[in-house]
Amino acid sequence: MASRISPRWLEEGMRLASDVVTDDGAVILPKGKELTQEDIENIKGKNISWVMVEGDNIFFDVLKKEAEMAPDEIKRAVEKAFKYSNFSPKETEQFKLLALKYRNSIAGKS
Amino acid sequence: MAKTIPVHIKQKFEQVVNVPTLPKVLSKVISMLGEPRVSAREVAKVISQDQALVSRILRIVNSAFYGFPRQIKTIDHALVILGFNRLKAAIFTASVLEVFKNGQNDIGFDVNGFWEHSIGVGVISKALAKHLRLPNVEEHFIFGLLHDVGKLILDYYGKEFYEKVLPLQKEKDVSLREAELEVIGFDHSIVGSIVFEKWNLPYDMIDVVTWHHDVVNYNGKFLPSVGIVAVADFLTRLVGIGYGGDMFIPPLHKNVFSMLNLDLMTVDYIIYEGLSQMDSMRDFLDIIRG
Repeated sequence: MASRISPRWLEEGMRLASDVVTDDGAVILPKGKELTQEDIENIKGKNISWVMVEGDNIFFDVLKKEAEMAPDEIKRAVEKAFKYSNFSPKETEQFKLLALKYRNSIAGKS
Repeated sequence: MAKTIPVHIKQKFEQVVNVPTLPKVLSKVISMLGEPRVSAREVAKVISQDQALVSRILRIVNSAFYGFPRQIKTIDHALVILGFNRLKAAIFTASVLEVFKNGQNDIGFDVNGFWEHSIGVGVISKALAKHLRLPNVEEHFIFGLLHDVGKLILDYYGKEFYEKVLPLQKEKDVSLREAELEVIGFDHSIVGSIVFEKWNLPYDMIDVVTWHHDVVNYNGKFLPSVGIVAVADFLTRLVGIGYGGDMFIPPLHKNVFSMLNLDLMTVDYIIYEGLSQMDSMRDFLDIIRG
């Protein structure tokens, strides 16, 4: 199983679950490569939005970190927004993490 | 798939909502587009009778929605470049927007926020359609853009209702839909359904507008599209794009996500892809304003 994450969250030792490809189709790192710090800097310098790494828990760990960065005001707004949620508690929590991640990102850009 | 709307609701709607009929040229164009053997040339000829309509269609065609590198200057040119089926989406959009051109919005409904939300649902619907490899990706932007038109119809042409609905929504801090049901007895999806049928718009568009809050009960043939717009509406509210009339995320059955084969990681990717289009689609707001 694999996780799709932003290059921002890459760490040494993670293994690529698919080739890293630039916009013009060049493969800069192959599937299976165990990432070094140099590889990570190379990826970050190429304007690549997503990287697939092995391990599906990594996606959720990164999502929690991204959500944690949201300020209290956004956390309160997200809590309120889920008034009508009919998902299970676990599913609701996962969607709340997504909400926090993106609302914080959008707030940071405006 | 038509929703059975009780007669008393239709009667109440007709008494209080003063929806304009479509202008003659638009009505004729939409009717022609519903015929299986109509020629593109014939449609272009009729459209050309209305320069305002031509102008709006060309603005849509030249927007980031299609993303062509060069200006398209005539409807004939648009037909050659896009083909008839792809141009239909632009024609339907221009037709619907034409109706709100001269309307009055003065009871406090946030129309700019409404359109920002609608564009958000449009870009995420398009991203979902692309991910699912559906053939009519651009049409899903239009489905998303127009999914909540019922609210605008009530704001512009059903003020007697919305003058009570909007304050009630704020006072009780409930969803706009809940306030609509309490005051009117039906919600904006029913309004959109009645009006789109009246205007003879395509069935897929009608079903999206009618069923996007009630997907689990939909058994019609446009299920992927209805599901896509329902999910896109949910995700647009999730990330807080625009204003859909309240600050709440609509309830949505998890089966809709399963039906579209969407796990959380895919949803994250779809949101990212959709939002990356938002800035370039903001020129649509200018087209909408006319």
